[in-house]
Amino acid sequence: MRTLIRNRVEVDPQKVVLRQLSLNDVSEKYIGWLNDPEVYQFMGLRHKIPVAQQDVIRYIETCNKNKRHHWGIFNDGEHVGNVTCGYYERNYHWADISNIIGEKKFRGTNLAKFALVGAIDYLFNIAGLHRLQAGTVSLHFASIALLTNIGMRKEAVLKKASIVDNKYVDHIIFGILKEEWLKRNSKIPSVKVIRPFWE
Amino acid sequence: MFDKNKMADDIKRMIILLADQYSTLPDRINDDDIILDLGILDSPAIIELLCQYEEKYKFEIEKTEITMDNLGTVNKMVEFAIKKIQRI
Repeated sequence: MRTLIRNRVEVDPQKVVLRQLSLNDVSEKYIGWLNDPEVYQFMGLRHKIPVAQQDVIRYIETCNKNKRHHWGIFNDGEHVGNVTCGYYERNYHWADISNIIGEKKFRGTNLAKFALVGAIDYLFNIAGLHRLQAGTVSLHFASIALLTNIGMRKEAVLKKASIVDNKYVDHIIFGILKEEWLKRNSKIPSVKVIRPFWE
Repeated sequence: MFDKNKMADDIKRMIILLADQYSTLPDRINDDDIILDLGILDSPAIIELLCQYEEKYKFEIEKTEITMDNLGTVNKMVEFAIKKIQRI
């Protein structure tokens, strides 16, 4: 644990913007994050390593074609991570949300929290969703802390539904409804979200 | 001998001091409350808590030891620290 980053940078939420990613955002840096074990260790992505440029291009094209939110997190103009709705249940108005912080200096900062709050505000208030859910493995304390801290509720523990380091581990599902989100008692600042071309 | 009550109080103090500025603190933290469910520690704080815990009790936590069974509550953190110290 002592090797984890403690010299964190301060994040000003007013300098953070979420914007739908386009092919112009594909960079070596972005592909590098996706192949970084610290980033993918608890993500489904870990089964698809190595990730190539063509994979990222295909994913962005699919998201844009299918009107899926796949935002880049831009801090003061620099692409530093993503927030993604990887699955939509359009008939029932809900989606799955996830995030990564690729840029090392922003791991362990409030950036993920501000970005997720911005994304959730947008998805409920502009995109018209009524429920969001997120999943993580039980070993991923940082992710569990983040999701609980922003107000999501632990809804299910799928016993030994995932594998990390060749061991079965539980998968935890968190959820929140729009009415719960609007009523929550939180002062976490949000960030600016740029509308994608279809909204 | 280990003073488990003092260890529990010290860990609770760390949690309170690391609590997120945007959260509402609970009236009290019980030794068996699931720390993550309190919702007052965000991801940077949980990492900081584990770092401070290692530093205070002078041992290192292996990645595979970061589980709810070992570290999920204040009581579990106390028991885990004692086991680790005794192994040193």
